[in-house]
Amino acid sequence: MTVATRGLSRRALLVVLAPLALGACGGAELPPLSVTKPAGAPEVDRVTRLLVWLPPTTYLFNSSNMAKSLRAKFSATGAAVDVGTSQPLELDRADAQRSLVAAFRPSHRLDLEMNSATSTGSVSSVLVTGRLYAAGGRVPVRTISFLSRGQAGGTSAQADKVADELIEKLKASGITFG
Amino acid sequence: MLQRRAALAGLALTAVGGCAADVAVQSNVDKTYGRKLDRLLIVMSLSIKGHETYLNPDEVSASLKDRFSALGVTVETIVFTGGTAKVPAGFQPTQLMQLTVTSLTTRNGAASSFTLSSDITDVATRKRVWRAEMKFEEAPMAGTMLLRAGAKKAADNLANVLTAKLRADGLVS
Repeated sequence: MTVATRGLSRRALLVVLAPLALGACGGAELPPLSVTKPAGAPEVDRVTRLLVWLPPTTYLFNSSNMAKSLRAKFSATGAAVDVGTSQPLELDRADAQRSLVAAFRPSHRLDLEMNSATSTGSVSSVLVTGRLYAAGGRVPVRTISFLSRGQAGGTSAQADKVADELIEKLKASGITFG
Repeated sequence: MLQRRAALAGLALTAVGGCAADVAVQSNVDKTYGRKLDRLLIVMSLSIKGHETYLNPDEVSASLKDRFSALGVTVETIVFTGGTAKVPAGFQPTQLMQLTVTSLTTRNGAASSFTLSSDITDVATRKRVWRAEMKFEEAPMAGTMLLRAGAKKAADNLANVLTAKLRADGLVS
C-alpha cells in the first residue's frame, strides 16, 4: 500500500464513521420540521377544506402511512380533508388534481414533495419539502421542510409525529383550521 | 511494482466499464407537445449538500453540447449552485431542462450510486413536457474509488443515455 492510498483509506474511514456515529443508533436529533411564511404571504389564514397531495410511494417516502396520518390529524382540527397521490413522473399537477379539486372544492392545497436523499452506508437522510396554497393560488402561503432518517413516514408512528409537528408549526405561523 | 500498476489499470477499466453500463431510465412525455427541442438551456445541479457524484459538471456540459449539437439542438448549460441562475447573454431558449441529483449513496466517501431527475419545460407555455429519472446503479466497490478517472466516460454515457431517451420520446430527431 502506498502512502497516498493509505491516506485515502484513513479519510474514507473517517467519512464513513462520522455519520455512523451520529445516526446509526437513531440517537441523533433531527432538525425540527420548519414552516416558513414567504414574503408577502398573509399573516393569518384559515383552512376549512384541505386537499393534501403526496408523492408516490418509494423507498424514500411512504405515501400510505403519511396519507392516513395527515387525514386523521388534519380532520381532528375541524378541517375537511381529502388526500391525493401523484403518479410517478407526473407532468402537470394541476391537471392531475383537476377532478379532485372540482369535486372537493378545497380552500387550500398542501403539496408535499420528496426533495432529495443522501445515504451513507445504512444511514439515509430524506429531505421532504412542501407548500401550502390557497385554493387556485400559484404562490404559497407557507413553505415546509423536514428531514427524515430513512423512509419518510416509514412507520405509522413516524407519520403521526410529522403530522402533529406540521399542524403545530402551521398554527404557530398563523394558520387556523376548521 | 509492475503487478501493482497492472492491478490499478485493471481496476480503472472496471470502474470505467461499470459506470458506462448501469443506467436505468424511466420517462414520461407529453405526447401532445408536437415540437422538437430547439434551443435548450440545461440547468445542472450535480451535488446534494456538498456530496458530489463522480460526474464532473464541465465534462457533462461538454458531452451534452457535443451530443445535442449532433442532433441539431443548440445547448447552453448552467451549473446551479444555489441562488438565481442567469441565462447566458444572447441565448433565448425555447426549452428549459433541469438535471438534478435527487438521491445519492456514498460508500467510503465516494458516490456509489445516485439518481438524476430531469424535466423539460417549454419556455413559451411554461408547461412541463417531459420528465425522467436516471438511476446510476452501484458500481463495484474497487471501481468507485477510481471513478473520477472515468468521469469523461461517465459524462459521455449520461449524454448518450439522455439523448437516446429523448429520441425515443420524439423530442429530438
